[in-house]
Amino acid sequence: MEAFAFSVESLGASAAYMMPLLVLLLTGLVLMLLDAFGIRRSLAWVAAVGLVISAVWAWSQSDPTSRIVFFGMMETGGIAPIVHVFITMSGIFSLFFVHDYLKRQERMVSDVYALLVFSVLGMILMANANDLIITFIGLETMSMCLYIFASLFKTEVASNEAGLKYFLLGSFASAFLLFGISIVYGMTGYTNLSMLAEPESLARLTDNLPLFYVAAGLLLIGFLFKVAAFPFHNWTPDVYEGTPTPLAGFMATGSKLAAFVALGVVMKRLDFIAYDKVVTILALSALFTMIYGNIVAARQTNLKRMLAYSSIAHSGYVLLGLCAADIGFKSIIFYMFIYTLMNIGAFGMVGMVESKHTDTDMESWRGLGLKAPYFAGGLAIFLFSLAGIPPLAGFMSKYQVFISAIREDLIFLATVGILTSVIGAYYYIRVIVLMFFNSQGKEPSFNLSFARLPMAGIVILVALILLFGIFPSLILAPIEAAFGGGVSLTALP
Amino acid sequence: MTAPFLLYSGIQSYVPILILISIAIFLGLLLTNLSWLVGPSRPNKLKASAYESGMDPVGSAHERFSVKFYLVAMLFILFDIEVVFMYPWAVQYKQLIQEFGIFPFLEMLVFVLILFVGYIYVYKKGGLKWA
Repeated sequence: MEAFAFSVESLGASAAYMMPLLVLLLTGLVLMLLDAFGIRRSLAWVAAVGLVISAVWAWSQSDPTSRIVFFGMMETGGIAPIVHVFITMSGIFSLFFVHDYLKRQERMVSDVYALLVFSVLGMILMANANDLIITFIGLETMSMCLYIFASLFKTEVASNEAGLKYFLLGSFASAFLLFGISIVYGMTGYTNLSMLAEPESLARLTDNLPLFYVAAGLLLIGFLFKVAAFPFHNWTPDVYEGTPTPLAGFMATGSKLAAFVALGVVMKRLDFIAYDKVVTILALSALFTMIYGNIVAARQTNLKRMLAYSSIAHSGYVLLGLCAADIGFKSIIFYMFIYTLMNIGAFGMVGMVESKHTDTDMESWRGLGLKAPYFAGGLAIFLFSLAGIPPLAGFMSKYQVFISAIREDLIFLATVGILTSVIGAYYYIRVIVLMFFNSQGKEPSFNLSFARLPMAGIVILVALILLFGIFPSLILAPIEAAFGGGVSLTALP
Repeated sequence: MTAPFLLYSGIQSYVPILILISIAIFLGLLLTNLSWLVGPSRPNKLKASAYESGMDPVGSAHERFSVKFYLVAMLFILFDIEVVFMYPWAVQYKQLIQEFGIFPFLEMLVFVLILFVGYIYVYKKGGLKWA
């Protein structure tokens, strides 16, 4: 541990790398103060500026060699900057939709913006941590904000249910994660991930295999809950249904991206891939998550619940990528970024027309394509992309995950993934059919005058989905560069 | 074979704590019994209730009371913990100043400043208003 000993000099050196995070912290505090003193007009813009500055600053520090700073607590360089940028982008895109949604619901909860920035901070801490304690603190910072998002409309029953369910189950899962960390600490004497990755610590873990499996299991439970993977998915539909819709989109993307990256980093450092039993558990979870999420999503009649189940299904694909070692880790970062774009778009659009509870029923979307063709066309693009239809980005992301699974000889899992994504195509396209081809003379009852900001958001997201679908290397190349070598994703087998 | 990490620490270092606990138990028993033995006993209804001037301890457990209790309790815990964090810092302060200069002071200042923002937020949002 000598390398990580405290000194003011090393703190000063670390501070430069911590600046993107400190910008987020400052933005959050400023937002709190502005809100407290009643200056609520441009909170969303302040939040956006803070997030953009933080992302740009982090990006400017990108460096293929990974560096451990802050006394071994944080990682910079390597994949850290790109993950930082992706997570902040999830926050920025949500901001396009949040203000308008709250205004139309007539619940101007101005604390949302500070919470959003703080949860982005938590996600980044969690994903870029180099110490299990920081992973945990980041996870809790993020989760606390998400619990509040779930119960934001405190006079609504659905929101209360969502908040309570998420809070009780979420804190329970966090306890599992913490218990796993404590066993790892008990076995090796370290919580620091780079110390844990030393051969000596790994040997200590393998010395007592049964205890190691307990620790790995507990860690996996904690993470799998956060990403809504199969045995721990039950909270997802209810929570997303009760959460304000654009924030549900944020919840389904940013937090999952952070949790997947954190899980990937822990897996890499503790070398989970080397233990057949751990990989089997992960693979089984991936298998059932894909099957369950897709089949149940096909039975939904509520658009928001359908998107919630589909987000479970997408977690399954990402877990499949995680089983595929290093190359899979690259592919899931790409996947989660593309998923962020399309899912925030889809949730955001559902939120744009939602003014009462029944508005999210698929029936009330019947015939929308005839009345508002451009709006419905935008949603169709997001849904096609979620289904994985080329030339949209959703296709490229699915392709990368499946191809990396096939390269690691996970043929069976990849086959199941492709088959279940066919089911996925059914329920996404059903909505499109309802909107365009099966109106039965009905017209949507909801108000179709849209605010300018969310429309701008949709245009940007659609453009990005088309762009990255046609030129995936725009994103893949920086990811490759961040990993600094290894098996390349872009080179075809 | 090396012993598991958890068993390294010497149990003998806990002996002073054991002594402290036994003194505490002895003193506690002594004082409670002493007041029972020596003190005059003139009970009335109010005096005999579990919490003087508190809630009635006997009755339905499903009684409703103001949600503000929770808010105040949560805020109390938050700022209470803040002070708890200051204790180890204050105890080590002289040593820290000698070793690292002004830095430990600034660090605590930042910590308090962040909590102060929280305090302003709570105050302005009316979290401390009872009415």
